[in-house]
Amino acid sequence: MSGGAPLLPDTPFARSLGIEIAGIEADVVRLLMPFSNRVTGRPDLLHGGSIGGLFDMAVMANLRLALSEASPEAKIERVNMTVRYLRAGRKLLTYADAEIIRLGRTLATVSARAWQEDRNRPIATAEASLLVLRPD
Amino acid sequence: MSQPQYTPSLAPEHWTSWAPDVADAFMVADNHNRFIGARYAAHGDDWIEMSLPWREDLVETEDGALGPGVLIALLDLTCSRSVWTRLSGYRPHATLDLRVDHLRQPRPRAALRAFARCHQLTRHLAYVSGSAHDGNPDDPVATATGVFISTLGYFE
Repeated sequence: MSGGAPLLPDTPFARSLGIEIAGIEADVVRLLMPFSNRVTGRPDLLHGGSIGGLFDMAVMANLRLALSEASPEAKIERVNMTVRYLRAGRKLLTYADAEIIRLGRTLATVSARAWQEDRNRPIATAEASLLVLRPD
Repeated sequence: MSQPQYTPSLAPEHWTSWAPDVADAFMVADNHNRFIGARYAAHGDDWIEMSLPWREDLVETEDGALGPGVLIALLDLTCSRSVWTRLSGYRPHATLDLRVDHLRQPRPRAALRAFARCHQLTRHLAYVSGSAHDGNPDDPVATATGVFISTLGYFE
């Protein structure tokens, strides 16, 4: 991978929640988050707030990958993110990936999904807008 | 920090006996809320404020600032608690959707403070708006809008 930040920076928060890259296939970065007390809401259920953190990292990782070839030195600024919760997350591994809906000169729109056993039955989705600041 | 006189439980008979300032005692469970270290700060009829001290293991930026992950969790939690504050009691419910507008990055090593107000409550839905700052309420780091759903119903 040429210049620029790692797809998933090794931050204390990511380490605290055990969030890692599960794999990269067809230019899509998939993250995983293990189930632990630290991400529990009600007993044996996933806390919605922890899914938000996972989504943010999935959005950023996929946007960094999309920019890595043409604009590896671009800076990304978050504008907003809306999370929709669909199903309760259970005591399982949670995965998240994201799709670049549109990557323009300065604005990126990214759609993300989180799931556990079946990607076609997501537990939550998110849509994020971000600013892309390219030095060139 | 003052000690509550009773330990709230999830049993339905306790649902109306909660007060916002003792609900922290509910967070005795070793879970996400406990892990991020959010705690009650203030409340009114339909609003609540929560604070989140800075901690090294919650940091996500190179210069040692909190968030955005923990910021989203704090806003979700504060919005959720504002509904219970307005109800003067606990009701099991779930976040339906939550939108966070990132206004600026929190300052390095700054604690976060979130505010949320439940401005509309129907039988099954609660509508909340909130914000978070890192020291100055006139200079927020984020705003939030959330909708919560109670399938059982918030009231009869």
